[in-house]
Amino acid sequence: MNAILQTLVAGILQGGIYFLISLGLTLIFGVAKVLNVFHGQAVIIGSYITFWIFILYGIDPYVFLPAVVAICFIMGSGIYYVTIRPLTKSKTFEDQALLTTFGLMLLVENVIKEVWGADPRFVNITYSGISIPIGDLVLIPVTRLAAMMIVLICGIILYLILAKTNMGKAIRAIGQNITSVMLMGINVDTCYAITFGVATALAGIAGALLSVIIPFYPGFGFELLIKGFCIVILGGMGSPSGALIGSLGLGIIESFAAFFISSKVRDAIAYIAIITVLLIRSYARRK
Amino acid sequence: MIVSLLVVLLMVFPFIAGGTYYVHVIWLVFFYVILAQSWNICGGFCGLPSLGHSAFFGIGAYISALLSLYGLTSMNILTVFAGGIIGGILAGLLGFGLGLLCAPLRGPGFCIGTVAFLKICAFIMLAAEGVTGGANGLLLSQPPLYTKNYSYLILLGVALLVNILTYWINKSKIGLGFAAIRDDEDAAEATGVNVVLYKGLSVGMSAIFPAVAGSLYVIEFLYIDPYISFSVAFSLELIVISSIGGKGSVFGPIIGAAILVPVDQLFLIYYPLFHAIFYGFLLILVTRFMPDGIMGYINKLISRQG
Repeated sequence: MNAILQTLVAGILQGGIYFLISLGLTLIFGVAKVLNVFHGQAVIIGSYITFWIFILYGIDPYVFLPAVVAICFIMGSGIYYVTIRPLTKSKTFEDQALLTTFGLMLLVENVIKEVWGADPRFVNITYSGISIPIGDLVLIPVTRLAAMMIVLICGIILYLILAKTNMGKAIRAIGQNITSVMLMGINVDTCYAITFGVATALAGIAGALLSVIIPFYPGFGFELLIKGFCIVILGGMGSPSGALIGSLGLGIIESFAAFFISSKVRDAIAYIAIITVLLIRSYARRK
Repeated sequence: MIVSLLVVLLMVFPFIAGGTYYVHVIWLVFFYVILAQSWNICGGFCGLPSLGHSAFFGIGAYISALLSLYGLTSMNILTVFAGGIIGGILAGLLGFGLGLLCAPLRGPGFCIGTVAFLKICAFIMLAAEGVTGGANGLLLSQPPLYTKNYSYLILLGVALLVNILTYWINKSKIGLGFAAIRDDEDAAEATGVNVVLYKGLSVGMSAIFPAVAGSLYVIEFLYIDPYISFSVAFSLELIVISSIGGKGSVFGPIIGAAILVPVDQLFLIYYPLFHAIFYGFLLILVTRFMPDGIMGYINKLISRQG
């Protein structure tokens, strides 16, 4: 029983990280209708920045987090202005945006490989190995606990932004009916830029959090992207709550698959689960 | 008629250049033409963006490798044919099934479905270690009676076959059905197109030749493992080549492969550090300035003049 609870908690914690990643992805898709293949790299960039700042200057990852947020926000908006905005006029915008972000991902992934090498990196801070027992039942690594708390904070902040601020409402409106938004005189361009910026910032935070939890390498971004992509599709593209359910679901399924069967099977089970849910939903919708 | 001339030229080329790196490069071009054109049947004509085509390639490769390793045929050209045919049929059936199964999935959903298929296949190959060598893959020994020129010609033949098939599909009723599904699935269904069947057909037909190419690949490179053969990145390569050349057109993937593969190889030789970086950069540029791919651009130019 203890083991099951431990597995469940581990799954939820992993799901939290997935949530942060898929949140940005679903945001960009819901608002700008772009499948941002680069998103995975954004996560890894967050990890690498955190890593190097720690190695070179000894600054604690959690202390540096706000800086990562700022850097990734600027990076995200920058990417929007440079690569996505020129495409908005064309008819095949979605395909083009997909290919462009993919090209960007290839570029960045290989630049990282050249410049920083393909070896796995890990931020080994003094408290990495410590686990906190919750009651008598569960053992949680400190880093994962901290990550979960930050995920919760980010989730709440994002919710407040989207629900309460004018900018947030504008962004949500763009996702629903862009023509009306433009007629209202809202600067859609700025909203897109902010959306990209926020989403990339979230990805960067996820990366920074991951850097103290597991080793990462340049190709890891793509792996995370595929998982995030699956979650976004499952949860409904453009739906943050869907992303939440999907992320937690995936985290828990992975955790239990690894525990009950083996780590090797973990990915396969996860994908079987994903395709099963997808198909059930599609068939159900057709009836 | 230019095409026939080109084909003849290509056929004699290896005997002139004989055993040099250039033959290998053109070999690769044929290889990617086969794969990209096959993807085109599914993704370009029918609008089903499959990220799982690498799986069909892997299936063909593994079947051939296993056939030769377990000595069911002696290692010569026969293996290639047997592996290619069996692999092709199997992949075609699997693809057909996949298409039928994933028929209700739209766009990105379909994409994920094919990725799931790919990963599950990869897992099966990894898990059946006794047979497939698991993560270590399979290593073959050079077959007798085998020369590079043979495989070059066979590959050329297969490439021609694929293109003929694609051209035929394009002109036929099935192709019309595909285009209808691509443009507006619901309208197609309303007009009486059997969307589920056609989706199955499109994936099935596009799955045959990657498997054949897979068997030829394994004979050429003599090694296969789950990581190179069942990779999303490899599937993406096909999509990129097809898209840059112009998906949805018959010549698109040909042009795409003919340009991108040699350029890629050039960069591998002269600027190995930058080759993948350049690839990404090129992709961004082409997508920005030639959204319908090179064929689309050419078509635009032609229509502007005419």
